[in-house]
Amino acid sequence: MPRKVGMIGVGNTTYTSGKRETRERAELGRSCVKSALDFVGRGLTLADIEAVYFASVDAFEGVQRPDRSMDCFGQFWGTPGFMVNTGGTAGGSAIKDAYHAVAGGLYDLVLVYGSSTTGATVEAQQILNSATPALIEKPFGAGAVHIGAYYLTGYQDKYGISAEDYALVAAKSHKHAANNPYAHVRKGYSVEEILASPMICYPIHLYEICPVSAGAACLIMACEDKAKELSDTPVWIKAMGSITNSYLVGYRDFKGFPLLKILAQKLYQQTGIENPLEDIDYAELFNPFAGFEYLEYDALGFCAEGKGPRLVRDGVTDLGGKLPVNLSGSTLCTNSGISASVTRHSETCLQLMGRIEGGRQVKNARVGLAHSWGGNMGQFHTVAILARD
Amino acid sequence: MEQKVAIVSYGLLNYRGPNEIGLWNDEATFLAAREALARVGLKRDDIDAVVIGTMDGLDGITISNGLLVPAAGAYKKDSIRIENSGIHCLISGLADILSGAAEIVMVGSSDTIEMDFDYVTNSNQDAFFRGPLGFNAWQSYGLLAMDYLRKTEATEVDFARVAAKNYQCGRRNRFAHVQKDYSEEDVLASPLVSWPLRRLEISGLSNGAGTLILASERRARELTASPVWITGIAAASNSYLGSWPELSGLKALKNAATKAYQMAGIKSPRAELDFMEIFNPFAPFELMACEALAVCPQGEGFQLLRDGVIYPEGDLPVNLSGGSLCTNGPNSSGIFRIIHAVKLLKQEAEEMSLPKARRGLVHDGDIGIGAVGGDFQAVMILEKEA
Repeated sequence: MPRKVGMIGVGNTTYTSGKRETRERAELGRSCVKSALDFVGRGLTLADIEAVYFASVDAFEGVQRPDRSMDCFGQFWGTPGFMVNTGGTAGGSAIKDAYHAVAGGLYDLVLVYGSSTTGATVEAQQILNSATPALIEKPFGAGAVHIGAYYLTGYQDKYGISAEDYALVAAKSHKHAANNPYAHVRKGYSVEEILASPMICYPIHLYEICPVSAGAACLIMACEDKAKELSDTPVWIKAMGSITNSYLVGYRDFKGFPLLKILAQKLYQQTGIENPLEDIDYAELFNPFAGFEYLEYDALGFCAEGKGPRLVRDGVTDLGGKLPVNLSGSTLCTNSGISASVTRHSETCLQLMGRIEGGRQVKNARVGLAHSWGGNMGQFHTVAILARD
Repeated sequence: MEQKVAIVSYGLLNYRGPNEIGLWNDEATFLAAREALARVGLKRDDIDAVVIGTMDGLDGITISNGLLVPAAGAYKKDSIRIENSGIHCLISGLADILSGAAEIVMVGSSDTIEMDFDYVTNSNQDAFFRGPLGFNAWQSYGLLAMDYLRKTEATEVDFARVAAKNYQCGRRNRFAHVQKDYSEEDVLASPLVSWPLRRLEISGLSNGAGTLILASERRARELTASPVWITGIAAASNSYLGSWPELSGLKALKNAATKAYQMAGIKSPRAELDFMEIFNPFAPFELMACEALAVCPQGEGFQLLRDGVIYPEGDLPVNLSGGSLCTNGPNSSGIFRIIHAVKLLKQEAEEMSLPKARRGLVHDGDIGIGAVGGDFQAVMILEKEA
């Protein structure tokens, strides 16, 4: 029988712009890990951690295997380390791997670290371009925003989504980021300001695109006994999985996330979720481009396909609604590369623990969903279903 | 471990020199994955999860798992990529099975890309101290070998002799890349490249691919009459800057070995192991590793060589595959060694049989990109049933 696995500690650093970052890689690591250990308290030290899962994409850090030269993950004690790199989903993938290792009995207490990634490169888009198929897509110069635009034009075309609809969901994130001490862009842009911001790649305006942030996030996870010993409010992983799309994308229609739907249905079945809108209390969805939130609502079954804008207009996914989504301000306002995929899980965890700051706490949130997205043209998704007792 | 997990199949390409393989990474991965599936009559749909072990820098592109995991059968399935080593990937696959998330896991790795190895192995150094010095893999090997010479009675002749032993084994393994019968004299006559190491004592780069299929006990018994069980497996790390005072101490390797032996119930490794496959990107590392793996007292690894213990006909043969000196896919060398160990236990290693072998050890790690500090090491014990 697999063991229960609980999230018991969340670590964060403050976030800033990649270009303004002055903290060294290991310095960020140390302060982030320390904040997670302090979060747990009860005398927990780094020496107690049995394995570390380090999530990053090497080239975004400007080096190969950044984990090797960061002496802040218990290497002094010989703590095993696993560097997970699956692109944007690396944080979700690392949490999944750590979850399996603890559930399978290999380790009792582990740390997952989402590295502060994109701040260290001179030009991340050039690097990202090398992730695309070399013969067909790469020569077009595809970068992150183009990937976003493929999906958002296709989705707009199929469901008649307006520019205001996209700006509306962006404004929801900006509004909440303004109250999140761990968000990077905290300007609280309105729908009007978003629509007036420069068009970067149709249909995406500047304020609908995530920034290049710097900062790190981490999570401490434990087996049932340890979780209960170290926390009064452990958040249990009820189910978690990832799904893989093909590398070549020529035949995708870019009108939604069909593979996310397959993954979600599998996990809903495992956890007995029949009506996601009713059964889930909080969700953090990965939206480096604000409009992605709509595609994710559809795939996760929060609404009928193409009806996401109505959920937002009716406040269903806002604070006080039936299923608040992205009250952290989301990836749209803070995208420190790979750490953003850990943050989706850590923010959901904090909501379920009831420890969210800035007036963004959802009342009585018991079941949460955390999602991450990444890889070439969005090749990967991960989803975790979390719950507190 | 409460549950048992086995390696039930493998796929392996013949390793070649850079630019000699004529395949892309995904093509090589696909061929090795297809072979592994066919060997036990599995279809792609039977795979529950895929674990790929490569590093972006060694693949020449970013998020290279995007290219590789579909080739190993991951479409619409769970997948992950771990960069540390082949055994680290097996720990991930093992966790998938032990946690009940999967019953069949495909683990693979490949090397087909020519890259600037000096640059890549320099870029994992810190930006302040070692990076600007141009520190790279070969220099780190030299430092370790030098420290070993200083601390033990081993000589440069021992280094040449252990290299020649590897070449003689590689000569008999048709999957190995370098198939040259270099003698001790040939090795000593090769140019000095990173004192005290000579060219033939440092591995080159090889291209090829390998895959392994892991299965739960239930599925393993259905799929094969000779499953190879993972009875011990552990990983460990070593500090980066903090490791300078004890260069050749191999703290991480000792740590991983201790845990793996404990898991497998091994008390006397020398007596209880039938063979070992050790990652030796430079020849003397094999001797140093023997000490860290506790098959001889500290500082006496060279004695195992002088006494013939680690030769093919000795008590504890090491690197019958030819080791990393003969085959060094910078991503896939660990998977290559694991496959060789599996073949030895299944009596499927051509011209190199160990009829009595029941239990073997495989070592892996990321010292291929720099060996002094910041290294992640892993040890695995494989066994077959009586």
